Amino acid sequence: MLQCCSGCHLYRYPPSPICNSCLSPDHQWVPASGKGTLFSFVVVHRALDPYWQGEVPYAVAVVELAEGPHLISNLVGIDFDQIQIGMALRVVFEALSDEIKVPRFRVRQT
Amino acid sequence: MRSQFAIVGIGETPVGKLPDRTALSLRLEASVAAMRDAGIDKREIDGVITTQMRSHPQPNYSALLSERLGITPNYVTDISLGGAAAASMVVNAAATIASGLCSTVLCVSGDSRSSARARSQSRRRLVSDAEDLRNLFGAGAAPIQYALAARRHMHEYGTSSRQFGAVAVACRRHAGMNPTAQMRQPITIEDHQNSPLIADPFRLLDCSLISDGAAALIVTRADRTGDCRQPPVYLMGTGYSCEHSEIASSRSMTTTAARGAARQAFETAGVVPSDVDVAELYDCFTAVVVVTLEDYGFCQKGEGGFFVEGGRIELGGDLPVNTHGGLLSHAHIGGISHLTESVIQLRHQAGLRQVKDARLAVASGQCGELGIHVTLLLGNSPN
Repeated sequence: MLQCCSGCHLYRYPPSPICNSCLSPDHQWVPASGKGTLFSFVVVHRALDPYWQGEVPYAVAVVELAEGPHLISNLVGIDFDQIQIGMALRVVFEALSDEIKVPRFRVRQT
Repeated sequence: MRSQFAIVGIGETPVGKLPDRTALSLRLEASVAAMRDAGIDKREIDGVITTQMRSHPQPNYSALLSERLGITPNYVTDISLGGAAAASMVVNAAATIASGLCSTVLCVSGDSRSSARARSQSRRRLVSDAEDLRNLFGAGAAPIQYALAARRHMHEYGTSSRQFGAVAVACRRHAGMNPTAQMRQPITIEDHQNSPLIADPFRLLDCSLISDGAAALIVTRADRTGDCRQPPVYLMGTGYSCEHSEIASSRSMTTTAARGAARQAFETAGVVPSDVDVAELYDCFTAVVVVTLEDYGFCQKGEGGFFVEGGRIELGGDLPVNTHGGLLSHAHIGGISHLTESVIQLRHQAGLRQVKDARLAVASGQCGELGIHVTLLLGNSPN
């Protein structure tokens, strides 16, 4: 789901109380395509947060969503040396708990 | 604006690991040193500006400092803005003096981040909502955000890790000539390449230090500098720009707020990049220097990687950068050392690391992951 402005129909992320283009507070949560492309990435080798200590190395990505916004996430299911900026991605949801699911991204076959 | 204001005093504490010192004691020591350096009495200080501390944020810190210095200024304020805060203090001081609120402003920055970390006070540090959200993806920390921008630069322009390394090597060479610097042992590009990966493409030697220490400077009207002990350093131009608060929101990632800030500063000063003798550029990570040099117009966009190679940014090169050693090798006390070093260079008091005949310096501060930038042009002559 993504926030979409009811005034000017711009998608936005991160979630915000108003549209930063037309300043309207009116918005709808609409289903997103889940598709995007890789804008940039980093492979983290040293965990800077103790929670992630057991996860290194892992890939952080900036994904350019098909709807427009950029989103920080992770790349999963790929060898790090295969990662290329511009590659097509699709979302996968991983459950952190019964209530929280986190969007991460996999390579999308085009 | 040009030459109406001047920096007339600077004060610096030791930097590095100072576990026995509180941030307050460091900031007070720097303040007193700056007043002595200027040769002015504390009663002449009628404005106090401080930077917000990162490790242990507290309200109204400028008032606390004033109280402990025993002064009752007409103007106090605390500035957030992370690494842009130090340069922002100087712009704010000039603007406040111009408004008539006060005439002589003490600007103080510094922290005990290294020792606060050792004392496990990091839970009390300043954290944004955006960082909380990014922590879901293990992406909260600054090296990751800046590395995303560095990776994009590599992708668009073919910039290499070895070129980032040239920035680290230059800063370390300069630190070796600075008796106060935290890291003085020379390094090579190979040392950089062999240092452990932190957030690929960044290695350990792409990252700045974590330090204790403080510094202060005093800004006044240029026509009030006559009684001061030291030669004045004039504020020739200032620029300020805000484009985003986190890097993921940047559509480009490779052209930054530095461009707008520099354009404004060079225009107000009536000078061009080739007039600059020495550049003290905020360097929380090596790649930031590369991008800043491009956005300032010292080279074309995309050529920054080549520009920093071959000793061009080292003493004796075309444009010495971070002659004190920068955040990478001198110390990271928030970026104010880039300003004090500019003053030292323009007074020709830098000893071994002096840039010969330096007349015009550019200094930068930035934060918000390349989104917020302040540029200062400083000169040792009002003309």
